[in-house]
Amino acid sequence: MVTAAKSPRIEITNLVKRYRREGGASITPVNDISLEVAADELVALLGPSGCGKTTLLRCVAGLERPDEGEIVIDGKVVFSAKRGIYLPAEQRELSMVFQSYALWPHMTVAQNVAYPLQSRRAPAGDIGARVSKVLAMVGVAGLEQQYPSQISGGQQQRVALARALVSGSSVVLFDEPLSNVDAQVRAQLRFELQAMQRSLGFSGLYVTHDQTEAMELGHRVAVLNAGVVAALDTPRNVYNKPPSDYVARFVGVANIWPGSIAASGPEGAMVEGAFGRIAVAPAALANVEASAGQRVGVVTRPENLRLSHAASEEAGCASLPARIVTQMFSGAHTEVVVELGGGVLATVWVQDQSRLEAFPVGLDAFVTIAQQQVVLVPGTAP
Amino acid sequence: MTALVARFRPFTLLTLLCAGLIAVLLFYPLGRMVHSLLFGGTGGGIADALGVLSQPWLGPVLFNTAVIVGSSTVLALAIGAVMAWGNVRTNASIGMLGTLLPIIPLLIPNVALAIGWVFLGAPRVGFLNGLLALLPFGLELNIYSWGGLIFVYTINAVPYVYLIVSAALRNLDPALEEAARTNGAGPLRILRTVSLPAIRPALISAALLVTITSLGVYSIPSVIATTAKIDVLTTRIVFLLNRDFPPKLAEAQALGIIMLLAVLALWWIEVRMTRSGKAATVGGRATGNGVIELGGWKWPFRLGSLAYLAMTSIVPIGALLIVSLQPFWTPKINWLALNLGNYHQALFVNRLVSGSLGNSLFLSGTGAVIAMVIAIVVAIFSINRFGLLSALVDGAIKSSAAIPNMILAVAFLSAFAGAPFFLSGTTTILLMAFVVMYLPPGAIAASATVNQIGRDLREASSIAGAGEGRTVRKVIVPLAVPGFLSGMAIVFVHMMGDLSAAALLSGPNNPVVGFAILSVWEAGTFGVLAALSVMLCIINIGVIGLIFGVGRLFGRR
Repeated sequence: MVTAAKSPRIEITNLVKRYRREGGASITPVNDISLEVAADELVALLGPSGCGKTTLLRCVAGLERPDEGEIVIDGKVVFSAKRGIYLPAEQRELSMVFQSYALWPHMTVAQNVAYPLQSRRAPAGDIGARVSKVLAMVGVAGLEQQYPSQISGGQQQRVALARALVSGSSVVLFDEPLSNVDAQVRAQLRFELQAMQRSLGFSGLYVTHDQTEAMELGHRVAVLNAGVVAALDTPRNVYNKPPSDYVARFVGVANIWPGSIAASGPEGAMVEGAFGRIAVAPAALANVEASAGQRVGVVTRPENLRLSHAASEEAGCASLPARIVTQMFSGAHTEVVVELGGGVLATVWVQDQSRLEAFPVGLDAFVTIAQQQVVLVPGTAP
Repeated sequence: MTALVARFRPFTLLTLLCAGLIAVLLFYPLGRMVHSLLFGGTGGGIADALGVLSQPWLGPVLFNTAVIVGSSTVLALAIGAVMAWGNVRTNASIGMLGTLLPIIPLLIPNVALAIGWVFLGAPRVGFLNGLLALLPFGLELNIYSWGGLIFVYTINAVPYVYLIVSAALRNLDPALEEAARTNGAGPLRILRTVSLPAIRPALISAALLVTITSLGVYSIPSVIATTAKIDVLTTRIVFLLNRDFPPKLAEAQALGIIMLLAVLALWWIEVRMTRSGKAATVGGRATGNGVIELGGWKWPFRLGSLAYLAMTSIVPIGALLIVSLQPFWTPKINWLALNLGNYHQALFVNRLVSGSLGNSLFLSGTGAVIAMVIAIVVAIFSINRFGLLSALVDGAIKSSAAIPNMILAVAFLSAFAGAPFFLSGTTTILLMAFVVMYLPPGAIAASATVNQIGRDLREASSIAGAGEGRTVRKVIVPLAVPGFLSGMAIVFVHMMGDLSAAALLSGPNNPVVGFAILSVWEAGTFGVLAALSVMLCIINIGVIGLIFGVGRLFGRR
């Protein structure tokens, strides 16, 4: 355990997985991905369907055979294309929670949970006690003799989790485990799962298409796009400093205004475009080439934009003229869409509903943002 | 890595052995048949075979076969498709009885159906003619006629059409029909312009299946066509081999080849027709509420379905039952004179009949077990492997479905009856023929069952550290037991009701039920024939009922 804490539990290096479609066309759902998961760390794999996140997970699990690269789990090479090593799933000693739960319908809850222990030849005397203990831990004590079809979806999910945790594997893989339970149970399970991961200290890969889930659960989030890692960082950094417009758009709601760098220096840069002119801090330039004329996208988050009747005089703030286009109430906030210069639209979230009357549709006003809340991403051709 | 391959090898080897065995038992006899036809051999040769072409009976035989198979296929397709649509898509559904319909051929072998209809529709003595004689019109039915023959062929074929078409209709998105309804189409127009065209591939494969089945069926013409003096391919083949002396093997083989060529042509047509792709694959899941209101047509439709069900089950079975209990077959039923004498004859006096029952039970039991073991091994092997090898082994054990059993029986006779095997008149040759002929329905049941088990259930087992063997034992087999059992039951009843292998490969030394039925039919002891047919039905109904009951017990959860 002491040595494991230093080296990563999962090391994925230059992994490639290709499929040949019927008719000969080939697709590459995993295209040269490298990723490390440290001990006690949970990395969320986030992306839209078809981005390769599930294929990557299945390659780690041993359910798919990659074409290139290497996978090392707990210091043991389980796959290496160069060395011709491929351990099948049953020899990798990891656990997995399936999207469909995959509980065996002909076995009781206790038999389901005991299965990994029996397969891995745990001492028969311990099995009963270990099963009861893990079932109690996930909150379904007393269901031992029930069959999966006799318990609720949320309970089935907990049993599936118990089955994954019972053998004490140092690596647990999650394939969208919460996508089949309803919203309230999902929030509760997310909270419990996080607590359990932090207390048991297993390493995990967690596939999801739900950004909230990814950010709440993951120590780090890997955003995948068409088989490559588009971003890999802490949830805070991925959200606040997205490296590309793809990541900015996929994680949270983003305003992205096309523009180009007019001037740059040690104290930041001036960006201009159809939307207007805005000065940005040096930190905002981390992911772009800061030379004059460079095309960039200006990324702002709707909760950071403020509406005002006059341009802000505050230091470190920028204001842009905007006309109110529409207001949409959505509970916690009201979404106000404004039009900047050149027809560029921006979304502003207003929390304080009493302010809305002051900004009727059609009014000419200003949006204001703090400079350190603006980030630039490489621009695409207009 | 190498250790891993070594661990899986025994199972791969077993699979190859199973599939190889079936492939040899299928292609070796067919090959021998073609070979001896082309290059001569014992009692064969291309010259003798070509002699067939100059026979005066060839033209009428081909014509008769084409007319009977063609017209009964068209009728069965129309009746089966309309009945399936009515039961699946409209409010005229007859519920549980509708689901019973496709399994009737399993419960009542087609030879029993044919004999039952002889008892009903024979001139003068048929029960229906007994009823018609009470009426003043002087009407009389004659089952020994073109009409009678086509009628029995048709009611025999309807369940196959019904099964395929109702499955296709269940997968048809009701929105397609609802769209037609909102555009003002009535039920008949919907059926004609939307429902049936949308399932065209299913209709084509149903037509193909029925044509191939009817082409090779021997039980119905052996009972009806011979008396009606209408010669078809299968009766002529049996005649050439069993009645002519010396047996004209070469000519029979030539007829077998003609039949085989016809089947190949049909397959080719199906491939061409379904490849055109005009009938798009229809997605979407059917929901229970997309039901079309038939209005005034509802009750006529229901009565039609019920009448069909009765005609294929209760009515012929009733006729069999009454004749089996009568001292002698007469349409004037004397209820007080009914007794079990014929059963006593069949079970204790007539050695051939009682011996054949024992033989058939043993052969069908053993054959069903062998066939299902092979089917299960191949199904489990194929489940995790995609690629040429798994497609090959799967194809090997299912391909005999495409070849009429009569051809296989001729091929087995050509290959194994004489040198170097000398298996003529043995139980072994029957067992081999049974396994090859009736493996496909078992194989289809086994692979359907295994493929229904979600991939995630197997993967979860691998992740939990279980090797392939443990996954098969602990996850796949327990979940598949009900399906395997019903597959075995289906194979068993097919073997019990066989007449093709029985006609050519069975004899006084190795009698099976089919052989006994043919012998008793020729001897004209109808009471014993009826008793034997009733017992055959009871055995089949019992086995199917028992195994489906046990399966339900397993599948309770």
